[in-house]
Amino acid sequence: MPPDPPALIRQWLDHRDEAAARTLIDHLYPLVTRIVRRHVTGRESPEDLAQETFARLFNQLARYDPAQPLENWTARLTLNVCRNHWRHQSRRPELHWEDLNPVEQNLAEHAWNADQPLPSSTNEDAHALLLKVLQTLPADDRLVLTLLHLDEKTTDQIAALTGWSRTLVKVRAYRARHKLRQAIERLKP
Amino acid sequence: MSDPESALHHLTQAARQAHLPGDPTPFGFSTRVLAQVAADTAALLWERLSLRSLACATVIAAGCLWWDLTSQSPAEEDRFISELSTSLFQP
Repeated sequence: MPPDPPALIRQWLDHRDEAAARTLIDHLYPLVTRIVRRHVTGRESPEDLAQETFARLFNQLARYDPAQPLENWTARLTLNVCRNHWRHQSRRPELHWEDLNPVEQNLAEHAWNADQPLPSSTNEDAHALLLKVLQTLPADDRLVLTLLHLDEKTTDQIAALTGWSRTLVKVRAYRARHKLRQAIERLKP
Repeated sequence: MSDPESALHHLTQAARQAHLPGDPTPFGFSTRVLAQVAADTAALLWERLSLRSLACATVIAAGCLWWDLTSQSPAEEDRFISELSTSLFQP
């Protein structure tokens, strides 16, 4: 039987029912880890960020509006945790061709020279390389670019997820894209 | 040789298709989360109590000061000033 999140939330809020909390964690864990893994590299301890997200979720559950889907609210919370993590993390300095490992150099060379899409066997490496490049950008730029290019969200969806206005999303995306293009330029073999 | 826009396009296109599985909850994860929630709740409670205590202490201190200033008679005040102005080792 699939879990009933509103009932589980009520049980937690009214009785601090740990069994209900565990069922809620099991229900939301795949969603949270998928978002965290999409936005942070393996080195940035995704499991710690997932734990931080759930701790925040339970502390703020009383403020949750049942009119909106729990998944959307959780996604927003997860993104905020990722953004805070990037803010407190020291930013990687500029990334140059020489800083890449052989696999990444090969991939960057391929991306620069390819007329065709990259082979599907390189998808995970491309994701890791892109996150490495994004680590050189400020937290908000990183967030808007990840949502726009990796998650393929629209301006309206990004505005809803971040709480920014549509104009701010567009301006941030434009400036961040310019910085990302400069960062990619530095990876030219 | 292509332009940065095209290189970026190729990279993002491949990165979007990366397989990022949503794993099942690891063993002990829920316990760690609930322990952190309990610790956070206790810390929050202490923080609220400390702030309220600070507010109470400030009000009491201000009350004492006001009571001290208003309850002194003029004679007491003169004696206090004369004691202050008297040097310790008078011949």
